Amino acid sequence: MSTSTPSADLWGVTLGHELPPITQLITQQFIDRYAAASLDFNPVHIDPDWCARAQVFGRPEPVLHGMAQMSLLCSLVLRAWGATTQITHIEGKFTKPMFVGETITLTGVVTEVHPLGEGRDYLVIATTATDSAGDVVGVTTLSVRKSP
Amino acid sequence: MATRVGEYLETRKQRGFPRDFIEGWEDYETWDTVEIGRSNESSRRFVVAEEDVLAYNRALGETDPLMVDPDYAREHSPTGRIVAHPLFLTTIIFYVSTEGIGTWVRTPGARNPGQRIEILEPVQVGDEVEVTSATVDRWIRRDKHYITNLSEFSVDGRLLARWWGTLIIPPTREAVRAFAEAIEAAR
Repeated sequence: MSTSTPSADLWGVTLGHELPPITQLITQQFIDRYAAASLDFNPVHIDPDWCARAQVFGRPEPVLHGMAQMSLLCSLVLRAWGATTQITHIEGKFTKPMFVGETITLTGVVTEVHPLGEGRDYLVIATTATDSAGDVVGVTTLSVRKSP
Repeated sequence: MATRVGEYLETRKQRGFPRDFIEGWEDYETWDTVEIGRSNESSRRFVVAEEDVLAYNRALGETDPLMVDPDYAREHSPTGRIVAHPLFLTTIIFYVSTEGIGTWVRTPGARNPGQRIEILEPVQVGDEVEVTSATVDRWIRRDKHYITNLSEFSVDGRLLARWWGTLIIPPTREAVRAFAEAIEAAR
């Protein structure tokens, strides 16, 4: 009986591998452009006067779309391994709003390797978004397959 | 007043989209009245144009030519088409949520606590994506009112993705009104 430990790597990637981080300054211009692209024109993102009155998040500034943050967390994988890398499962939560003027930093680390066979192998990436203060604003788990 | 978001309207769908989320808020579904489990009877469709995908990719700052250069993608992409960001699904959801099931996604004052999405196949330029949605859950936690839609995306009957979309929304029409009037007062 073999006593060797199965290799914890896939496509040359090992457990604990860190993806190159992304940083993005959150400007109103960035938010407006994402609003147009996503068709999410909620005033909490694009209407500073309304935000000042409504203070949905307890502050008067517009906030970044949660889906923009989640998209950037997916972009971590696409920029590291190519646009055709397949993200098959995305599950995440937002823990703190990101306001205009802050810089978001996105990081990712390989936490699981699933060697199931050609075409079925996948990795699990734990991704984290932090704000300018270093507080975690969102976390997402991504399942990733290599493009065929 | 709204920011200069109008400067960033690039596509036919963006220009024709009802961008004022306050207009017609009285007709949006609300947490307290939504019917759990009812699916939209007539599915809504989104025909994916190259410009739709490009706008989403570029807004995120992507630079891979497979995502932002149509000529390069036509030559080098495995499909011969520009590659869509996996969360381009967001655009599709907002496009199909202007009436009927899931209009609460447009609610002023809504907050996004988290999402879960399964992608079986990537969306492609040229796809005619059909979206079927049902509100599958609502709950209260720490005095916040959560609501979840399950949306299924398919092309020619082939399932591409499932999205369990959750928001925290004002619980009643009166609560939505309070946010709506904040908008009107701000104008």
